[in-house]
Amino acid sequence: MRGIGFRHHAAYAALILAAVSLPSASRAQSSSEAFTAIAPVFQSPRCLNCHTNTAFPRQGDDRHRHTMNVARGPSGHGAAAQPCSMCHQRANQTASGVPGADEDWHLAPLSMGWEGLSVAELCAHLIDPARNGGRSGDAVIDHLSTNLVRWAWDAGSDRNSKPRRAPPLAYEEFVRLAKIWVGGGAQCPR
Amino acid sequence: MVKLTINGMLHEIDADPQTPLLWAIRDHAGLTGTKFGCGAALCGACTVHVEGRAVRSCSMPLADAEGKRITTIEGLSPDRSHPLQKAWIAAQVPQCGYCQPGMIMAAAALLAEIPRPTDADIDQAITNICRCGTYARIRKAIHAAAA
Amino acid sequence: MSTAASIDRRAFLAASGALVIGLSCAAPRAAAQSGSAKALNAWVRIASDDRVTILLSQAEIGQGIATTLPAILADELGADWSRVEVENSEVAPAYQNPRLHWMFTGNSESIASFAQLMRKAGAAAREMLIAAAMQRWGNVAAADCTTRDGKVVHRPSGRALSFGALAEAAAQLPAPANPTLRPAAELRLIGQSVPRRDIPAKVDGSAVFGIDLKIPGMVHAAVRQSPILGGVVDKFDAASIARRPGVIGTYPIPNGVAVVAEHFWQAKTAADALVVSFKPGQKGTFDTASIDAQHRAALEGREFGEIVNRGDAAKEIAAASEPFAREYVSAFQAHATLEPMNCVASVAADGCDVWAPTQGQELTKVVAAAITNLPPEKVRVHWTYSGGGFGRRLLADFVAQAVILSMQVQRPVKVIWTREEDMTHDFYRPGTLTRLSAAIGAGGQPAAIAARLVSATQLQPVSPAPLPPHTDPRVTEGLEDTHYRVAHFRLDYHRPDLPAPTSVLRTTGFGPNIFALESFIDELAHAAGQDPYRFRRAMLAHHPRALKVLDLAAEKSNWGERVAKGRGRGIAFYEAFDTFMAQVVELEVGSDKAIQLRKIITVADPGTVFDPGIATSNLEGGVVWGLTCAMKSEITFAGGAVEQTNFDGYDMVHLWETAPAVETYLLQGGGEKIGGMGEVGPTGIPAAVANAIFAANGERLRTLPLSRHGYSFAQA
Repeated sequence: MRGIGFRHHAAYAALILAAVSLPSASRAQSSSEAFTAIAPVFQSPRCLNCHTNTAFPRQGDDRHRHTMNVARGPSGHGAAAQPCSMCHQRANQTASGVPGADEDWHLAPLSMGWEGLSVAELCAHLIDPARNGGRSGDAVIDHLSTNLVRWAWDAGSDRNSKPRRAPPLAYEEFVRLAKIWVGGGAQCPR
Repeated sequence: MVKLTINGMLHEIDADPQTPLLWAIRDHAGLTGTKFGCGAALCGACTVHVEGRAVRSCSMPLADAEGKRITTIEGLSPDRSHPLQKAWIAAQVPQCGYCQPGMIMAAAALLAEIPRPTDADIDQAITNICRCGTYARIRKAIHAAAA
Repeated sequence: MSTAASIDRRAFLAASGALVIGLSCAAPRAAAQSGSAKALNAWVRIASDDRVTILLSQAEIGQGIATTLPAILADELGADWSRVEVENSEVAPAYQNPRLHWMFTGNSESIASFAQLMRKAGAAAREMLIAAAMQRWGNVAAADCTTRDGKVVHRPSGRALSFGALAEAAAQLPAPANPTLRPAAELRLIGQSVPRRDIPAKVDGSAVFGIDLKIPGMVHAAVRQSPILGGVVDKFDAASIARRPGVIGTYPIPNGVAVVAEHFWQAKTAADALVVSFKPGQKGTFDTASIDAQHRAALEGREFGEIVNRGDAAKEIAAASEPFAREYVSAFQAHATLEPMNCVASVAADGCDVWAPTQGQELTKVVAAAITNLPPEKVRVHWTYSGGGFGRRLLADFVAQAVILSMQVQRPVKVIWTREEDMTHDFYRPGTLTRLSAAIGAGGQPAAIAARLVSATQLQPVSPAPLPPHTDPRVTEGLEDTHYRVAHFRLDYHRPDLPAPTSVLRTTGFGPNIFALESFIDELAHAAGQDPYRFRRAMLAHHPRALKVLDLAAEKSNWGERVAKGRGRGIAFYEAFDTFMAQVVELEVGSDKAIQLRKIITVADPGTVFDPGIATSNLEGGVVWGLTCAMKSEITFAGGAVEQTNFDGYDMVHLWETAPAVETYLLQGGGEKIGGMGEVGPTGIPAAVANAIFAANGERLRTLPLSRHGYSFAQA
């Protein structure tokens, strides 16, 4: 849904608003509050390492550039002949310490890069169909249940048996608050 | 019992399904061309093709390979006739030679996707470790095989 | 060399038995049943179908020796190279390095030590074949006969007899005591680039490395060695894993335990799950800081061995109005062979067979004999291709484990170390702390240089003889004097007794010592306001051979041409392993200290070049190896254990990090000595890189690896 103009953006926003009951003042506040509560999840290494703005992913809790010159490639699935799936398999591997999920391991597209965004900017980003993979409100929630996203809470351990740090909210709480955010009109904090 | 098709031949592997594919290939199917270097997907010595795409076999469990077409260095050609193998010999690439099967398999996957890779393509696709430092000749041989 | 990975044991042992033929030139050359190959001496046997088998005493570790030594013999012999086969010899006196009377592969000396022996053996066999032909022909002059392409040829008449037809008769004749070598004009392999014999098998997966071996009845072992170096097992609970599939048992090894199972992955996962605890050994625990402190205390102390004292450097430096002193540090390094340590041993009542990717052919036999208490003639060592050696495989700790385990389980046992076990149980190239002082003379040149070096042993673990205190030729070489015209030169060396295990690694002491010396010379040049190449040149003006390598490196690197801002060139000159070397590195330093290499020039003069292709290959690969040492390699200790466990913590240079232009040039300066090629490529690189960085941005780096100073290679 890239390249859709401002008019369509406004129309989408209207659709979202129309799909829910008109927010009262208190609910609009709790929608943006809900987003403030879930923002740290998006900003955690497990998410940010693949939602990069760059031609490469990152890895680790320290978010260093992915070693071995690993690149985004033309479609986010790695450079030619070095797909992410060359090493990342369908589950976390204890033997090699390589993380994996039951989905083809790949990067979020550049349009969904979140590095360096403030909380407000992140929010705007997430509801902009041009920058969220063309998703409307419920579809944003649906995306949170893909295996790659869920992997963040089941990220396994590294080669030295050190568990990878999960995002700061429990998954169920994250989804609950995300629904409040979207349900309350996907309001963004200032 | 896990059934693997390697280089067109069926192998029945009596091993734990979580055994890395690398060790099933080496110890059970008896194909030792694919090498163990690190066990952590850091060196690429274990590179094979699964359904034609490069995979570091130390990181794929045996169970995930069942029913898929696996190619190892032994299956690249019956007689060293693959263009990469000929180029590798012509350029006298290997020193100790331990990394080379994985290197050649990575290069074969690259040429299958990009028949005439640029140096930048090679930089990004060939990340295997060669401790002996034969990289310049590897690059030259890939270009020669692609020509 | 055998290329079958799976070998029938009896056939395998029978094949090994065939190598007993021709034990030494003096021993009777036992002929087996008629039709089989006849040995003309310890090094060559010929079959009636013209196949020539040449014995190889050295291990092929990537340096190409399995091609060059047989080629030297074949050239003298006049064999048809396409009908030559090469087989490893047994471990026996006839095959020992004639300089050291010991079988090993290392120190860049295989060609230097064996070339003459190969020529003599080939020439002797040639003369015996000619004599046999002369007997058949009757009435021909020896001077009219020669050998070529596997035949004895009578030049005037054109008559020829094949080696196969003559072998039996030739083998009966006495070996000539002093065979005549071919004139240079007749040589067709020596001095040529011969395609390596092992390369075809190394591109199709058929080459057998130690880790690939399959012996019938073999079981596998995975080790858990004490993470604290020098530590021992406290307790282990074999029952904790005894019921896992395939597990045969858990057994003690000198520094830990091993789990033996039918398949390696079963052994490895069981070993991971094994309940075992360790405790420090006699040396307690230690860390990098404690070792650094020990080095520092030694450097400031008074306990040194005076290795060299030419002139009176101490007096000159003490009298200097402005003494010039700098300190240089190199980190501990791991060998990191891509094939991890492994060994197969089969101990039975009638003898012991050991198969290993070893560089210590004879040490392996001695250790196995000692452990099994078998007489040496019942211990057979079979060495395979080695996925990198770099000196690590001169040792026999991994051999001892396999032998011990085979004795326990009474089956052939293959021990494989994981990368983690390998990296944390190395015998590391010791770190160094070096202080160089100079008294500056005319033209800013050093009139006197004094070096103080502190570094643990490299030679002791691989040498049978105990070293006197504060000596170690492998550690001090490179700082034992210099070709630069310096009137006074002194080296004092302190050899600390460290709790960390250390040994020799490719480049030996030349590596860190040339880094120190060539950085120091560079600093002197810049202090004098002089160009680093011209400064060196002035001090080598008396030495034509040194000048030639230096000048060629400068020429090929366009030294003196302006470089763009942020770019710099660095130069290094040295003699190592009897080879004269000069290297120039040109690089660009970006923001965040990210380096892009532009060009690397290497000039090598080993005196005589036996195989330019193989020599060039060694140099090119060596340059990359040296870049890893220069930029990345560092082993650190904490709590007595090594902190780096795999390639994520101990990274190697990768393809995209290498220079786009790497040029190597070979010169033949002649002389008696044959210089080595295996270790010289890496040796000057750290200094050349550091000197280039200084030229690019003015930062002088005195510690290796340069990552310690924040430098890295730019990602593509």
